[in-house]
Amino acid sequence: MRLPLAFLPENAEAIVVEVRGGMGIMRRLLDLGLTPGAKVKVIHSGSAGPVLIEVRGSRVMVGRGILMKIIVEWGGSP
Amino acid sequence: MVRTRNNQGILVVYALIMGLLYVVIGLAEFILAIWNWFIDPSGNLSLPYLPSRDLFGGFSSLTIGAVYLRSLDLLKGRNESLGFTLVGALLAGAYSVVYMLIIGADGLNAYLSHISGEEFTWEWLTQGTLETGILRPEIWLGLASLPLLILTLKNLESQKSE
Amino acid sequence: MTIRVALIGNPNVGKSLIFNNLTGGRVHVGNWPGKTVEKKEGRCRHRGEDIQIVDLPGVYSLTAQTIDEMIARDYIVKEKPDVVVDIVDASNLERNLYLTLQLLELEANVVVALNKYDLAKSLGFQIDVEGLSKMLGVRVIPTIATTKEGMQELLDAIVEASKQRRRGSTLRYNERVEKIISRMEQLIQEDKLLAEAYPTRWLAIKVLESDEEVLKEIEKSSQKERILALKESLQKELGGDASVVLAEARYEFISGVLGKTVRGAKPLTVTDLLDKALLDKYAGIPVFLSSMWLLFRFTFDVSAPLTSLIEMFFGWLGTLASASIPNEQLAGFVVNGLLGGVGAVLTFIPPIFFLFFGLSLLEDSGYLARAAFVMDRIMYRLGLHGKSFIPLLLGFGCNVPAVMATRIIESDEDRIITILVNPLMSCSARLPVYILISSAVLGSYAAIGVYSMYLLGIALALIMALLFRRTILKGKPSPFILELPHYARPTLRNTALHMWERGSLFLKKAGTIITLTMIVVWFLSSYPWGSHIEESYVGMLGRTLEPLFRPLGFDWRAVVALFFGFLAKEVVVGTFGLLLGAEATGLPEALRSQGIFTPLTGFAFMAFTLIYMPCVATIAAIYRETNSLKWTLFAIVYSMILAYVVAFAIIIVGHLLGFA
Repeated sequence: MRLPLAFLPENAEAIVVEVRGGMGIMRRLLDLGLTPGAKVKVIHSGSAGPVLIEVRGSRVMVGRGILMKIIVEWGGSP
Repeated sequence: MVRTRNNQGILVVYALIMGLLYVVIGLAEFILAIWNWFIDPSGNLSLPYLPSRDLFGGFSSLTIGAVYLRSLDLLKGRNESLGFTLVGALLAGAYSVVYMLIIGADGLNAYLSHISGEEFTWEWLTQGTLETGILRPEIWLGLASLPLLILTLKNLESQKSE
Repeated sequence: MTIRVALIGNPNVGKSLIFNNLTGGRVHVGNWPGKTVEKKEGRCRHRGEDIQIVDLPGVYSLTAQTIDEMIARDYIVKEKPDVVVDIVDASNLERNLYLTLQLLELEANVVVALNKYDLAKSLGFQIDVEGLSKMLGVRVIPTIATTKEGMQELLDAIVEASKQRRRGSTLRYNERVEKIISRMEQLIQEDKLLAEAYPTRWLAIKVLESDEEVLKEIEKSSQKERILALKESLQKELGGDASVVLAEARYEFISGVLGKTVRGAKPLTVTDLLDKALLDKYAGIPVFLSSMWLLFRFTFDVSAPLTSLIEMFFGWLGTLASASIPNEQLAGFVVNGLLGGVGAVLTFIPPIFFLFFGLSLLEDSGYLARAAFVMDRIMYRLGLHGKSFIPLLLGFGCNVPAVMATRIIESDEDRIITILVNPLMSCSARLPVYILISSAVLGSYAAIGVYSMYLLGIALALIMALLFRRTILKGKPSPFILELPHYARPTLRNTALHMWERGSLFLKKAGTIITLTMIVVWFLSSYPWGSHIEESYVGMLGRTLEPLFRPLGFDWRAVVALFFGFLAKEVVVGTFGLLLGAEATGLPEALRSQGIFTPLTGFAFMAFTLIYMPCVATIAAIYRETNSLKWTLFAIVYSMILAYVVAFAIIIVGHLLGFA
C-alpha cells in the first residue's frame, strides 16, 4: 500500500515512490538519497518530533512534517 | 552459542544489581535535595555518605540506574538492548571520573588557600564540592561498572563472529 | 608556483583532522567574506612544491541551498582551485559519493581521500580502490586521519594531479538522462561567453534542475529564451521534475560503481546499540540531561582552582606593581585598570577551555547530533532549535562560554535567538547579588526569593524566544533534516586541537574589548583623582540618572552598583560594600539599616540585576559570535528595556498587593 513515510511504524522497511513538496525541501531530500526507488527503514519514531530513518547506508533525522511529503510503497499494515 | 548465553546471563545479573544500587542511591539523593531545597530549607536533613543538596547529581544516578534496568529486555532475546548496558556503563564511568577530578580540584583549591595563608586541612577529601568527597558512592559504583563495559563489548564481538 | 588546494567533504568525515594533519596546525582562521561561517587556511610544502590549503565548509551537496553550500560552490566555481580534495567516509560511500559526482560535474580537478578506511574494514567492507579510481576517473587514496596514515600518499596525489589538468567530464549517466543533458549542452555552447565562464555540461544539468543561481546567469545570456524554452519542453518529455530524475541517475550511477567495487555488509554495530539506548523514547531525555549536568560540573567545578590560581597570580602581580610604582595614579592605572582588565579576561580561560574540551568530546563522538534529535521535540514548541538547549543550560554557569557554545547551531536565525536570550539564564556571578539582597530584606523568604530569580529568567527567556521568533526573526526553527554520523572514539589530540582553536579565538577577539572597557571604567571611577567614589564621575553619573530609576525605588547608590555590575555582575556586591563602608559579613545589615531597599524594591532590584545588560565579557562574546555590531547593540538595548519593564511591573503589582 502507498502511504506517507511519516505513518510507517518503527522497524518498517519501504520503497520511496514519490517526493513532493517545495523545491528547497525536495532537493534536500533528493540529495540525501530519498529518490524514487530508494529503500528506507524507520529506525526510531516516537509519538511526536523528528523521525530517524536509514536510507542509502546512513541515518538521517527528518521532521515529521517533511516525512508527510514522502510517499512510500509498503508491504505491511500500520 | 552456549558461551554467549552464559556470558549474557552474567551480564544481565550484573546490570540488575548495578541498576538497583544506582536507583536506590539516586532516589535517596534526589529526595534529600528536594526536601532540603524546597520543603524545609532551614533544616538540614541528611543521610550518611550521601550529599544532601545535589538534586541533579541524584537525578543522574537515578537515570543511570534506570538505563541499566532497561537492559533487562535482553532476557526477551532483544540483543539491541546491549545498548543500555553500554550507555549505562559509559555514563557511570564518566561520572566517576569527573567526580574524582572535582575532588582533585578541591584539593588544589585547599592547597592554594594554604599558600595564601590559611590553615591546611584534609576536609576536601571527605567534604568539599561533592559534600561527601571520596565517600560519594557513585565514584566507586562507576569503577565497578567497568567490568560491565568489558562484558558488553565482548558480547557484541561474539555476536559479530557468529 | 603555489598549488591551491580546497578540502571538501560531508560533515563528520574527518575533514578538519586531515586539514590539521596536512598543515601541521599552522592555520589562519578568519571568516568568509560577509558571512559568520569560519574560513580556515593553511600551508605546507611537499616535494619542493608550495601547497596552500583552504578548508571548505562541510556539505552534503552543492545545490547551493545553505550558506555553507553556497560558499563551497562559489569557491570552486569562481576561485577555481588547482586541486579539490574530496574527503569521503569509506564506511558510508553511497551517500558520500553523491558529493563526489557533483564535483566531477563541476569539472573540478578531484582527488578522493577514502577516509576512515580502518572503520570500513572493521565493519566488514572490502573496497577495490583501484576499481573505484578507474570508474570515477580520479585518484583515490585510502587514509586514516586519526593515525595520519595515507597523508604522504595524499600529498603525492595532490602534486601529481596539479600537473595534469583534467578537461571535460568523463562522467556518463544513463542514456535517457544523457540525451537531455547533451541537447541542453549543445544549445548553451552557442553562447560563447557563457561557455567560456563555466563548464557547459554542468550548466546544462543545473538549468534542468532549475538551480536559482545558474538561472540568474542564464537571464544574462543572449540565448536566454531558447534555453528556457528547451528546458520547458525537456521537462515535459521527462514527464516529471528533472531534479528528481537527475538525483535518481546519480544514485543509480553510484550503485553501479559500488556494486562492482565494494563487498560486504555491516553487522549489528556499536552505532546501532548506542542509538537504541541514547534515542530511546523514555531514556533519551534523562540520559541527555545527565550528560549535560556532567558537562556542567566538568566545566565549572573542575576548572575552579585554575581560575583562583590566575586570580592569585594577578593579585600578587598587583601588589608587586603598586609597591614598585611610586606614582600613585600610574600605579592605580596599572593595578586596577590594566592588570584588572587582563586578569578579568584570563579568569575566563579555564571554564572556556574546559567547556570546549567537553563539547568537542561530545561532538567528535557523534553524540551531539543525537542530543539535538532528543531535545528537538521540546525545544521546537518553544520556538527554539534542539541544539539551543546546550548553550541555555551552560548559561547557568557563565554566559560567556554559553554564547560561544551556540556555534553548534547551524542556522543563523536559530543561533541569534539563542544568543539573545542566553543572558537571561542566571549565571553564577549573579547568585551573590541575589543572596545579598534577599538576605537583607526578604527575611525568611530569602531562599524562595533566590529561586524565583532563576525561574523568572527561564520564563523570560522562553517568552522572548517566542517573541523574537514571531517578530524580528520570523519563520520556524529550520526544518529538521540532519544526518547522524557513525559514533567514533574521539582522539585526545583532535579534541585538544578543537579546544585550542575555539578557546584562543575568545582570547583574541573578546580579550581586547574586555580589557579596554575595564580601563575606561577604572578611569570613570577614579577621577577626579583622589575623590571618594561618591564624587567620581561614576558617582555624578549615578546622581544624574537617579530620577530615571526613582519609579523603581532605586537611589543613586543602587544605580552606581548596577553600573559597576556591567563589568561582572558579582561586582554589584563589592560596590555596595564600598559605598556603605561595610565588610562583606555586615553588608546585609548595613543595607537594611540604611534603608536602601524595602522588600519590594529589593526584589525589583534583584530582577533588574538578572535582566539588565549582559556583563562586558558576555557582550564581547556576543559580538564575536554574531559578528555584527547591530545584534550586539540590540542585545544591550532590549535587555535594558526588558529589565526596566519587568522591575516596574514588579513594583506596580507589589503596590496593588499592598507591599510598600
